[in-house]
Amino acid sequence: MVEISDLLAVVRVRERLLPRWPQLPNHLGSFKDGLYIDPPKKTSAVIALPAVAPRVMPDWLTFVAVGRFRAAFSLIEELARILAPTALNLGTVPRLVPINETAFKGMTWHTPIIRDLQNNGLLLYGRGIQA
Amino acid sequence: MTEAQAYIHVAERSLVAADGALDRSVHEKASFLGYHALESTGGAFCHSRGVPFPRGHRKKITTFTAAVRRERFGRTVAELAIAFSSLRNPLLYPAALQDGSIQQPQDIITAGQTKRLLGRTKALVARVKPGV
Repeated sequence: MVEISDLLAVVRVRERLLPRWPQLPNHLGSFKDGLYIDPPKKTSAVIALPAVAPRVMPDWLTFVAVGRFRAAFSLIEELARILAPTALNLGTVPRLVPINETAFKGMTWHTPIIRDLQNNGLLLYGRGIQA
Repeated sequence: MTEAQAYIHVAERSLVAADGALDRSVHEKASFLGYHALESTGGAFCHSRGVPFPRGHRKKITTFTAAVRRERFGRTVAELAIAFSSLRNPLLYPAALQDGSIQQPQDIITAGQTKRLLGRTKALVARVKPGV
């Protein structure tokens, strides 16, 4: 089982990404600001991933959203409202990937998504965590 | 009929089909048709303003969002763009979750949420249509 607090403690340390990703796009800071100015109620954490595809530069527009929900769209709807002003201003559209908090019970640090978050994830928002 | 008007026509027909799918309780398909309506509305807007409209799905949505920056309905487009971009693939295909269960397209969104999403998309089409 993966404790969400343990995962957030890892992904909030931006410096650990420097060997692999020395340059991060500016939009991450803008979306992060938006999430702290207007904090979500249903979403407990938002973590950005580079989403590397072959022959394509990572766009860092895949945002994993952690929260409790019955239908994943609940988190998508909430975050779309909060992130829209920044998306409009920058002309960049993030793709949200909701993960239910209850799913963490069945995961380990070797589960692919957790390994990816641990290696490449960058915390944009965590409830109760200072910006 | 101009190409921009043809795109609006596609958007409107997609929304008619979405209502049909919703009436038959196939709400995930109704949501996907809403996505198609948004994309087509983007085609209408971009063609009417001389903005090159790309072929890739993701680029279409991004181009539309960037093009409406100064429009009064810009924020609505950005919100719908984020929502539909996040929904597109999960609405089409089942996915194996990390806990071993299978997430089916109809579980991503409820019928009530679909109705709300389509309502906002219809309102957007109505706002874009007079200008194309």
